[in-house]
Amino acid sequence: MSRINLSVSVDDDHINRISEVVQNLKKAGMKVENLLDQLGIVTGWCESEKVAKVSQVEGVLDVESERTVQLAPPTSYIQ
Amino acid sequence: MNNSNLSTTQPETTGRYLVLLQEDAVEAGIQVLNESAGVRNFVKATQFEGSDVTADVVEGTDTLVFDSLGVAVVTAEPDQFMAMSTMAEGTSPIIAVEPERVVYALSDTGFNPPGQPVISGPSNLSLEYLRGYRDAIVNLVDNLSVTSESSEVKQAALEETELTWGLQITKAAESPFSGRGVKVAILDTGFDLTHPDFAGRQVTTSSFITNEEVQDKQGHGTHCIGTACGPRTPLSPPGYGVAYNAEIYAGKVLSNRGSGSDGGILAGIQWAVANGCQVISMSLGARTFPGQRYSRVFEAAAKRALRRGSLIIAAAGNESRRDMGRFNPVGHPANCPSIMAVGALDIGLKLGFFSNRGFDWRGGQVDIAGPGVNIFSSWPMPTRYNTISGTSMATPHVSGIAALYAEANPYAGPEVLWSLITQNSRRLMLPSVDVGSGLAQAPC
Repeated sequence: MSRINLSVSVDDDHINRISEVVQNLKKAGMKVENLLDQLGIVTGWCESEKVAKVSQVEGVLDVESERTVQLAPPTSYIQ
Repeated sequence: MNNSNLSTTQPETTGRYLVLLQEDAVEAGIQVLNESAGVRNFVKATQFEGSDVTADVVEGTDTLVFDSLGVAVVTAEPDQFMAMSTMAEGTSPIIAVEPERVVYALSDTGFNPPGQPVISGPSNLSLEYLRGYRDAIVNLVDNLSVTSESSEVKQAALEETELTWGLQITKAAESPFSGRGVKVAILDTGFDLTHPDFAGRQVTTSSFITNEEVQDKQGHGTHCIGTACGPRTPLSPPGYGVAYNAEIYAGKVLSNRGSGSDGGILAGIQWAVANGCQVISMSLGARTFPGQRYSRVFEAAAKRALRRGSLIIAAAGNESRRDMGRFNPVGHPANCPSIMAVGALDIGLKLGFFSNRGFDWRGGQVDIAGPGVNIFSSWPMPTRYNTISGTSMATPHVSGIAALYAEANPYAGPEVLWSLITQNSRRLMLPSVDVGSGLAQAPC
């Protein structure tokens, strides 16, 4: 069992009821950290076995596991 | 020059004239044409509502007014043409007058206008072809000699005594616009809030990195902000900022160690959109692999940002090694179709050897290119300045230019800004998979 950081997009039909979707995401096992109402996106994390359940919440468009970005060191010629 | 040569270089005209009228003053324009140039017999295209304006109509009337276009097609004598031209020079509802040209459908056989009889058979056709070919060669040679001269002049002019080469080659140096009244968000490692080159500037900040202030201890963010929004006349030249009067929104989504994640970047985008930033510059990204699809979540975010008035511009990424024949696809999230992806060029308008490539559109493509090799800009004090390379440096050039277009076109939404940037870019003899529509150019 491992924690997965998630970004969840909400479809256009549910964007005005996003707090409802957030409640259902929580019920499905997602720990919601940020509700980005301008973008219709919810970020947070869940246990890996809960991902499928989170994806099935009504109004959810896509669920992606979080990527990381890393700049080159500041002394590098290419940035 | 003989006559036959003239006929190939001058456009064929119909004897009629196209008169461009002010959009909101078509009626006044008609009146002026009538009173001052003696133009009569007006027929309006809107009178043919529901049916097309046919050739008979065009031929049979003196003056046909396409009211919705604000254009009149006028049959006029030379003295009437003179009168109309004079009016177009002063203040009148007439903006411009030009002879109507003869245009032909482009055809495969090409060298003979369709509808024009071939006078003496196929041998004449090939003579026409050869003449055209000769003219094209002469033209090509002329153009080539001009180009090599002017590029030498350019090279000499790109010394960075007053302004960086990036400002010069993008024409930002000559633009009358400065980004005044435009909000530009730079989502990066933050900003050196003590940098003397930005004293007195309007800067709004927010950190999306846990336990880290906006103050930039890495350098990258301060460098990118410098290119997008830095000064033109710092204490010691060269000037290096494109939109030097724009309002700066510095969002810290990358830590002082240069790392970040989707959640923080999305939170930064949300902050910039909520603050009404017309331009969001993101010199960041994660490596992708051929065949990998773009992020659906970031694409949804970018579409909604566009809907709310924000254009996101992001770095195509630096994972390629073109000198070794290695090409990497555009990185995440620049590979999203609704995010403008920027490739990097050097001072000779060659690609930066590191600049990524578009593989197929579902995996993301490069939309535009900007100066990204040996870019001078601000760096956290006490270092003050640094010269570095990357698509990270090309991106804020384009973002600054986007802010100039936003100022020049105050009612343009982000999709229109996108079009303006690509429409006005300088086309290059480089593959579009590498540079999109070419080198971004500032509005003039």
